[in-house]
Amino acid sequence: MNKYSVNTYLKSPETTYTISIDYILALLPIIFWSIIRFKLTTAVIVSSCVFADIITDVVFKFLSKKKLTLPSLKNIYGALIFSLTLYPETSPVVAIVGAIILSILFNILNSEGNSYIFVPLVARVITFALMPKEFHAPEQTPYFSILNGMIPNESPVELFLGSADVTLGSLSIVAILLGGLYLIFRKSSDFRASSAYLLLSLVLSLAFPIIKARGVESTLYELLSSEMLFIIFFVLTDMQSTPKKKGLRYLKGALCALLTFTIKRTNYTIDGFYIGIIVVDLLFSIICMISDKIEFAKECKNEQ
Amino acid sequence: MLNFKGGIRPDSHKYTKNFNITDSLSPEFVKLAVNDSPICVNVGDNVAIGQKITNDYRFHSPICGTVTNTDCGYVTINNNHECTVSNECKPFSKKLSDATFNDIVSFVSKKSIRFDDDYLDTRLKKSLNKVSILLVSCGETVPFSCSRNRILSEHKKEIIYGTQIIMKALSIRKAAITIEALDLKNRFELKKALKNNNNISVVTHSSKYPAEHPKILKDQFLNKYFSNDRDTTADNVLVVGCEEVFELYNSFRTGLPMISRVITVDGDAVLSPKNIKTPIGTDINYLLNFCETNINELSSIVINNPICSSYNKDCEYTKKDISCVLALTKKFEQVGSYNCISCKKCRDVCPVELDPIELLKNQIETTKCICCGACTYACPAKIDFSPIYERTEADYE
Repeated sequence: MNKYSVNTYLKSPETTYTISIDYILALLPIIFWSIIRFKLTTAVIVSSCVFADIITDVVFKFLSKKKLTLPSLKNIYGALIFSLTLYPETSPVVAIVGAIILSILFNILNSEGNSYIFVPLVARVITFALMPKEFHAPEQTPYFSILNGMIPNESPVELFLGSADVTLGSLSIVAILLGGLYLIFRKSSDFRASSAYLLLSLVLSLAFPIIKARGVESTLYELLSSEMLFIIFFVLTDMQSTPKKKGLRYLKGALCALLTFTIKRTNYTIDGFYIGIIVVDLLFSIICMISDKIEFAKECKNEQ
Repeated sequence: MLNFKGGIRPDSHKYTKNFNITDSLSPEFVKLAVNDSPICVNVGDNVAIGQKITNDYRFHSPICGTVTNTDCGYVTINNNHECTVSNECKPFSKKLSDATFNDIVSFVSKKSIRFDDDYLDTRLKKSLNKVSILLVSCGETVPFSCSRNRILSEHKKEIIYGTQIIMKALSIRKAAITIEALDLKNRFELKKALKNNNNISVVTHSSKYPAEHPKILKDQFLNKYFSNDRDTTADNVLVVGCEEVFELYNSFRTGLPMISRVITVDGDAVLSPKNIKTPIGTDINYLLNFCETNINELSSIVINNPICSSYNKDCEYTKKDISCVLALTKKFEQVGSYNCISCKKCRDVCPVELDPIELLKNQIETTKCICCGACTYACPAKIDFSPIYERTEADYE
C-alpha cells in the first residue's frame, strides 16, 4: 500500500488552456456585435485573420523544422485581437497579410516568452505601413468631431451601445465592458496597468478638456469614442507584455496614458495611438531587462 | 491584520475542522527512527510509557511494551496494551513564578519536544538574552491539515499557559498569539480567555497560504509594528507553533515527554477522516486503515503539505514533524507541464518576492526561498518548481 509521494499535488485549477479560453470568450461579445452590425464584412475579416494565422503558423513550423503542433489558443487570440483593430471597410487582403505577419512575429518574438511587446499591435502597424490605402479608415469619427470642437451627432448612449464607426473592436462599449468584466470575474488578468491608464487618462481629460465649455461631456465622449476601453481591457492586460514588477505595471499604464493622450491631442490617428503603446512596450522591455540584470547581480552579491 | 505580498488561496479541504481529536489509537507496535542517537535499551527489555530509549533523551517510548528490534537506527516496540507510565515522568516541581531559565530548559531538554527542525530546548538556549518578542502561531492555511486548528479549539487555556512558560524562561514581557482573521470563533474565545492578561495579545493575519510560515509571520509582524527599525528587531522575535506550547504545558503538568502528535488523516481516498492523537512511530498503514482508507482507489500518500510535500520516500512510520497524512486518489495526480507563457503568476504569488521561473531556467541557487510551493500551485503551465526547493534545502544542508 505504500505509495509515498514527493511531488506537489494540489494545483490551481487554472491552466494555460483555461486562460486562453477566457480571453477568447471575453472577445466574443465584441465579435458578435460587429457581425450583427456589419454582417458578412466582419465575419470575413475575422475568419480570414484566424485561418491565415493558423496556416502560416503550420507552414512556419514546417519550414523551420520544428515540431508540427496545432497553433495554440494564444495565437488564435492574437489573430482575433488583430482583426478587431481593423476598420469595418478594411479589405480582407489586409486581414490575411496582417495575420501572416502576426504569425511570423509570434514565432520569432515569443518563442521563449521573453518579449514584452504586444505583438498584434506591431503586426497592425507594419501592415498599415505596407498597405495604407487598403485600410479604408473612416473619415469622420465621433472623436474627430470633438477634436474639431463639435459635440458628435451620436449621443453617449448610442456610443455606449455601439454605433460608433471606429475599429471593429471599439464599436460597442457595452460589448467591451461585458468582455472586460468577464476577465475581472475570472481573475485571468492583472489590471494594474489598466487601472493606472484609466485613472490618469480621466484626470488628464478632465484637467484639459477638448471642449472647455462642456468639459465633462467632452471627457465622456473622449472615453467612449477613442480606443481607450479596448486598450484597457485587452491590450494592457496582456500577460506577455506586462512587466514583472507590480510597481512597473502601474508605471507602464501611466506612461501609456500620458503618451496616448499627447498623440490623441496633437495628431490623432489610430495607428499613431498604437505606435505610442508600442513605444512604451519597447521602453519597458529595456527597463525590465536592465532591472532583471540589476536584481540578478544583487542576488549574487547577497548569496556571496 | 497582518498581511504579506503574494500568497495563494487554495481550496482549503478542511473537512476535519470540526472533528474533535480522537484519542483512541493503540497500535500493535511502534518503530522509532532514532538514527545516530545512542540507544539505551536492549531487545527483550520491557519499557513503560515515557521511558527514555536513547541516552540523549531525544526519544522515548510512546507505548508500554517490549523492545523487539534495535537495528539500523530504529527501535521497534511491541505493545502490551498496558498503561504503565515510567517513573522518569515527573511533572515540573517548582512554581512557575520561582522557576529560572536553567530550571525550565533542563526540564524541557528531557522531554524531546520537537515539531520542526530544532528541539524546543535548543531553540530556547539560542534565544536567551536575544529574544524580546514571542509569537505563537495558531493559524493553519495548509489545505486538509486541521491538527493545529483542533488543538487551538480544544486547548486554549493550555496554549496560554504554555506561552507563559516560554515568556518566563526567556524573561519576555510581551507575546502575541497570531490567528487567522477569519477564524472568528477561536478569535473571540481567545480574546475572552486573555481578558485579564495584559502581556499576551491576539494578532490576526490573513488566511492566505503561507501566512503562518515562521519567516513570513515574522516579516509581517516586523513590517507592521517595527517598520522603522526592522533590521535590528528581526533577531529579537521568536516564533513557535501553538502545538509546541501545548506540548510544553502538557510536559510541565504530567511530566510526560513528547510521545504523541495530533495528526490529520484525510484525503479523498479516506472514508472516515479524523484528527488523531497518534503515538510517535505508528505505522502509517495502520493509521490509514484506522480511518477506513479505500485501498482500491488509493493512488498516493502525501505527508504534511499537499502543496509542497518534500517528505522522504522512506517514511513509513510517524515522526515528530508529521502533522498530516493524506491518502489521495488519481484525481490529484501530477499532470504534464507545458511551456511557460510569461504570465508572471509565479512571481506574483511568491511571498519572498523571488522570480521562480528565472531561478529555474538559469539554475540559480538562493537561500531566500522558503519552499512553500505557492509558485508551483499557481503556475497555469503546471511547471514543477521543486528543483528550486531541492537546491535551497541542499544549500541549507
